[in-house]
Amino acid sequence: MKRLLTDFRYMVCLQGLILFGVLWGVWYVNYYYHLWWLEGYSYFTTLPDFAVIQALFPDDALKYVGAFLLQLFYEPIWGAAIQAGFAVWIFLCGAMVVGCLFKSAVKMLWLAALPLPFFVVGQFWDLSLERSIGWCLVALGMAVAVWIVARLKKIDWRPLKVLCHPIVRMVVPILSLCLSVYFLIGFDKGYQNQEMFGRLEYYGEHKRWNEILKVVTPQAAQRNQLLRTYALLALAETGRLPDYMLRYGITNSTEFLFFNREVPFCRNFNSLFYRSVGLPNEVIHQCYQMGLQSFFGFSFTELRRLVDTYLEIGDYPLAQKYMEVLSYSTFQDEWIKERMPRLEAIKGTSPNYRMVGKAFTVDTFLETMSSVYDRSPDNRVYADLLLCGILADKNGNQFYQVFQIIAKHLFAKGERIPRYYEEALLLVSSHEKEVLTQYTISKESRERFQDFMQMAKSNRLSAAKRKYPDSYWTYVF
Amino acid sequence: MSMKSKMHTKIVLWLFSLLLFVACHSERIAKERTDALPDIFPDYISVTIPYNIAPLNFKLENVDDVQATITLDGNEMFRINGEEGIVSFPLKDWKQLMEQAKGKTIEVQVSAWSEKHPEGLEYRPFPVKVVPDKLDDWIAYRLIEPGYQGWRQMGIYQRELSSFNEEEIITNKRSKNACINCHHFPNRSSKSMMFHVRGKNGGTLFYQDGKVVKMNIDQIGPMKGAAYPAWHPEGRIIAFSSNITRQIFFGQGQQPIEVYDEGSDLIFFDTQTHEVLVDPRFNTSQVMETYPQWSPDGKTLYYVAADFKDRPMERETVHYHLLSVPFDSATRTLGEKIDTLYNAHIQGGSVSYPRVSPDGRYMLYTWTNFGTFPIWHQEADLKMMDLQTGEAVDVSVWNDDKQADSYHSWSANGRWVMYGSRRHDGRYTRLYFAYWGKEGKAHKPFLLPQEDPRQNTWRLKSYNVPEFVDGQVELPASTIELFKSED
Repeated sequence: MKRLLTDFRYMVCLQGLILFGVLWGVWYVNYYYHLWWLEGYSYFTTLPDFAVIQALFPDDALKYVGAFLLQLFYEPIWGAAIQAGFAVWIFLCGAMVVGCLFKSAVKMLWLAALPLPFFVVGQFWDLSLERSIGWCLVALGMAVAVWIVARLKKIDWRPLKVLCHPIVRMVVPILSLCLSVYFLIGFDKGYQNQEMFGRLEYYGEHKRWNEILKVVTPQAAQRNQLLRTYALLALAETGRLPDYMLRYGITNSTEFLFFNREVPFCRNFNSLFYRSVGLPNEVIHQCYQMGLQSFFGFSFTELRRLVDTYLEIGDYPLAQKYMEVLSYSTFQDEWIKERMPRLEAIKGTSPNYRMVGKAFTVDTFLETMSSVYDRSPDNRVYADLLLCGILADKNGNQFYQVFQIIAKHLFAKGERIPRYYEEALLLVSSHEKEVLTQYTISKESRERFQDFMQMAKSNRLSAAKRKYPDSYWTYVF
Repeated sequence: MSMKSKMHTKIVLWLFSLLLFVACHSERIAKERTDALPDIFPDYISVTIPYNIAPLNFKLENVDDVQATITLDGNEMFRINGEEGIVSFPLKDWKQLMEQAKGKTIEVQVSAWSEKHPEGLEYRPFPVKVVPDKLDDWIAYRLIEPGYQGWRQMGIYQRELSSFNEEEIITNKRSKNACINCHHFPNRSSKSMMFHVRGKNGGTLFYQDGKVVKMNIDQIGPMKGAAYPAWHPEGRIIAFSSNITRQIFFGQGQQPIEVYDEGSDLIFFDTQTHEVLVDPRFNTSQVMETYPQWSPDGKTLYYVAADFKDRPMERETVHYHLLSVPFDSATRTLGEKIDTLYNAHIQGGSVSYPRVSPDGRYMLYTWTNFGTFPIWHQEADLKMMDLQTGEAVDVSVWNDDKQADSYHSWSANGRWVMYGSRRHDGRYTRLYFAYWGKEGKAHKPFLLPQEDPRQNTWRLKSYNVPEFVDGQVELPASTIELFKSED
């Protein structure tokens, strides 16, 4: 055992393995979704336009290599391995330098660990892997240069005894590793936010709405509009929007979507939103805008969603086009193969760009949802988005007008009227008496309303709001 | 190595090369025959092509091996064997063939081997007519994503039509905030050019006499922005439309976008004095004028105009007429009389992109049901008018009945028309060329040849504003510095 501990190669392997294991674990456990997101945000293909039109060489050479590697991040297990692998590579190059320069290299091996924190501190935001690859190339270059010089000059330095002390040899690598882990986990709170955003995109992509609501608590949504928007969509998809929306800190109808926010996260969300409300034109529009913001102007998330959207529409030429383009990326074959039967099924058919009534433009949230609802008057999700959007704008009169139309389709058979609708109707009933007879409003809501109004009228509005914090009345007053 | 073994090695190598050559060019005989024409992409069957076009490489779907045999005057010229259904003609052989085939018709006979026809299926040969009318050597176009709000990589590219050589003229790779658009060449000259750059540090760039200068036309005179250009044949004046352009997105239906002008006027930029001239008649809020175009002799300005309407609500009621007004280049003034060549209210539809043939006889334009940005209208078609008689000329063979056919240009000799079409997939614009015969007949168009025909599918950009150019454009490398800004 003692002989092994003094063997340079053994120690290099041992320390390298430990380094890899720890860093892999940190990446995989803490940034699983961020790794997944990195692949979606990137793009690589062997098609000629990519290198000629999209990329600029030699400037983009490292990004090009990074794009190739990022394909593997679709499986975060490999993404974590690559991220850890960069650090290990730098360590190994450092070890090579040490091995070339020093007589008792194993005693100076700790030097190879010194660059690691400096590398890791900037690794998270290296979204294109350009920095990481650059570091690796520089490290390799230095190692090779030192190797050449050491051989020519027959270098064989004897280090100072104090630098070879066992405590130094043990503490420095451990400290370096701990610092690297700290830089990866605790240093920048933004990392956790980014991981959260990656998680939301993952859940949204896979329609895991309940899981979105587990991670985006009402408290978190109240503090962060980006999270709130996802939570609102998840509430709508799970039929809980008109019962719980107000807990999530909404302030107006524009918070259901992102407007004029040219960042991939926002465009991607919008694309998912329009997928939920059955507007493929806007899914495609938002996808293009999202892709444009990627390094090479296209992204895997964009292209895959375009394929799925065109398959749904039944537009064979465009579905086939994007599938063929994707087939020239390195690891999309399985994904494409799963969709081939659907492609074959629409070959020779006409696309169905479902047109109901007049053409409408995608404008404000309420105008769009109004048109969306008109196309599908029996769709509860669309109805809830429209009504809750109006409620969010505190427009009681408009709410009542629209509710009357929607109720004919969705509440005509005595279905339960959601809480916020009841509360809004009760507010409206103060000047539209027929509301109370026309609609079945629960006894509980009526009593709560009476209590709230009594308190409000007797100058105890604040107390009323505290007593009914989650009510529509509190929101409005 | 001994002399004897060197000799043996040489013989073996020679035999191997011969075997390879024979294998590549040997004739395979298909066992089955059909009277059907092969379903090739692009569709080059019965097209008319110039002798100086690049090889018409094509593909058959769901085929393993393919063989194409070219005959001229009954003689077999050469034979090509291809894999994956792709027929790729060697450039040198093709050029030799084209020289010999000028004024004649070549026959292409295709055989294919597939799972369905493992013993081979021979199709009926199809003709390709080769005319002696030359096509311009180069074209220039912008490559962009098919039209949304933002942009990223874009640039103006050029392609040599007798080969597959494609190069950058100018791109925004080093300045990604820049939107490069509205490139234009006076009389198709590669020695002069103008284009706009939008974004930070933008302006209008003029390339002349080997130098590039940037001007901010919206800072001169009436302070109006310059959009669609038309360079006067004498080279001094450029007519621009000045447009306030908007874009709306449709939530449903196959047309995803509508682009319209909230207002547009005509302005004239004097490249010598750097003045911007306006004629008040073409600068009112009641009428929108756009797409200026000069006659070849420079004595007439053509343009389209429509009454102002409230958009986007009334967009379907906006119909652009085609008009003309005389121009005196000496005094730089427009004449009094304005003629209506196409009255959209009476004749229906809406006119865009008026382009006069080089001989001054024909007016080619794009027609849509309404509006001013045809590429997003599936019904957009090319139409032609005889300017001498005012009669419509049949060019229906150039149009696709389902998808948009739009922006077009005339070749220098007036025998060829190039235009953008979305017939391939309804979203990405590709370039087509069509012969306009001396007899006044429109011939079947053909798609811009690609070295690998699958490039038409692989390319994720549209060809935008295609223009013929008489040579290779070589902008100075320093051009980018005039509009470079931070990403």
